[in-house]
Amino acid sequence: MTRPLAAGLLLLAALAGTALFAAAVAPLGWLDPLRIDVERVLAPPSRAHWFGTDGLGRDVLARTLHGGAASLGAAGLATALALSVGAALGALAGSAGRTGDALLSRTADAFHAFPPLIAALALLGAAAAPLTGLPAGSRVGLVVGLFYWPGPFRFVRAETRRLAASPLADAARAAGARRARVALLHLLPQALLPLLAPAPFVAGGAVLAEAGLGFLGVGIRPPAPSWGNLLADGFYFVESAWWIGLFPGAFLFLAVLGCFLAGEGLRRRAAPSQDI
Amino acid sequence: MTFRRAALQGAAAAVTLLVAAFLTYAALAALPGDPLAAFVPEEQRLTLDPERRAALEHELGLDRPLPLRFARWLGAAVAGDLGTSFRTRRPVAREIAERLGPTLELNATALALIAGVGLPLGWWAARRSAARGARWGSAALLALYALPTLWVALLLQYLLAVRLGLLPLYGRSDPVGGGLGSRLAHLALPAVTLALHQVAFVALFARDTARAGFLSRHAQRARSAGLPEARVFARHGVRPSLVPLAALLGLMVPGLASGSVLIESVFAWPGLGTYFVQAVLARDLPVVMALSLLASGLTVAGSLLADALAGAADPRVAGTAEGRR
Repeated sequence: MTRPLAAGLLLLAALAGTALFAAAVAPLGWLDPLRIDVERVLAPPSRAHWFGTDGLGRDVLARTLHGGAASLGAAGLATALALSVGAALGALAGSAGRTGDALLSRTADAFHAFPPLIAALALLGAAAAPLTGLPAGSRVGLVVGLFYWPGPFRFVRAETRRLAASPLADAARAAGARRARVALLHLLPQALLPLLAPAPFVAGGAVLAEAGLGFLGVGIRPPAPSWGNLLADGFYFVESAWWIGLFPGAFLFLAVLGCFLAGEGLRRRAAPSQDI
Repeated sequence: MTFRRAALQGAAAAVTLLVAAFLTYAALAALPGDPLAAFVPEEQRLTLDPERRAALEHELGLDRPLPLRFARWLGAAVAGDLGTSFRTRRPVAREIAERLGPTLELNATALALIAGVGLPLGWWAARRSAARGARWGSAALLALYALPTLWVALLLQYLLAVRLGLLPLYGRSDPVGGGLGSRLAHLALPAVTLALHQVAFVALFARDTARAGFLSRHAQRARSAGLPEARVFARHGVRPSLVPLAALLGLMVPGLASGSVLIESVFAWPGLGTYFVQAVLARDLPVVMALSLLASGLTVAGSLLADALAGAADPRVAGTAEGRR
């Protein structure tokens, strides 16, 4: 395993671990992200509150850890959705005929034409009526995932096209498999390899997108914490309480760094000649 | 680049835009459930009596099927009529024109920083790539790339504006006596934070291309012919990294657009980004539709430009890229 890959995975495991830990001890009354300490409102970091308290006297450490669970969960859902939809449609397009391929490719292009943050902002803020029943985290994850699938789509489509001309596809067709079956069961597993390196970058982008949406007030909304809405809180108190935004932002940075390091490590494994 | 290829690419881009426009329209005009929502502000819509409502729907063509309505909206949009804002009751096109200036100012400054800082940084990293500790330098570049824009904005605001008082916290100029100095001081933080992510991206890219170039056999040959190292680097490192970079600029549009939305909101910059956020939060659908369409149009134009530049710079690309699918 390359060092960046190991470092990235370690970082992500540590962040997920702290989020899970916070969720695990919450029933015991520890690290409660909603508990208000009226004695200490806007208190700087101290023994009682390692990361300080916010404008309502809530513990910033607890909110950062619980916010991490929400943010990473939403980003994870978005990534899983983007990768699976992108890969499945990519395999279908790569082995479909001209018309099917053109149809899917143009649709992917159209989705790709929207900057993800802008499209998700418009959809969540102005039109998410059919999605309002969902919990905020899943809603954000679904909408962000909707605008990240064209990237994986392109990788898998290109690779499937290459494979469709190979004996592998001929053999499957000769055995009587239909087109969709050849695409999804025979070619797709082979075509996933080139997707490995870009996948963590998709995840990093999704983490950032969630934070942006939370910051703008259309993602996961307070009182439930997320790294995005904690940053918004940080901006609100930038003149009086630096710790409110500093710590959630640092966790966000580490999460994105973890994703990018993992991606960089995988890229180097794929192309060792570019190892710098 | 042949004419046929250019025409094919243009046609593909037009189809892409058309589908993107339809998606925008369908998502924003049809998804909310009530088609009238895209034309009449919520508080008026809910108190309409049924007769008036039916008349209005007929007048606006809302009793017709979605594709027809879309065609009508698109026709008007192409003719420059983007509808009327719910909030201000003014034409959306005029409001966009008014707010274009500040956004262009911010993005142009950011682009200058991206090219002016990102490129030299990448070249420097490429030259040092054989040196000891180069791995740490490359990790630092990756860390720079991973820095969340919002967090950097917050840290810079706190350090430079709140603690040191060197720069203003937000706004575009002082309300009174806002001369050039004040304008530049207000521009500094937003432009730097907007540029940061792309600076790292360009630096990583320039590093890889410059390094590949100056380790190539041509470069080895030039070295063995006795050319000084600086000249070898300029010719075989710097030059090949400039070519794909031209194309890269076109691909930066989505990043800059998203960045503008966040950065303008942070720094209360009176441009299209803040306008978009305000419109979304107020459910001002004509504005949201117009700006979504603008963003996707710019993205498509950017990637078209990128393809054209990449093809013009390197004929090998022209035969293989997107246009031939």
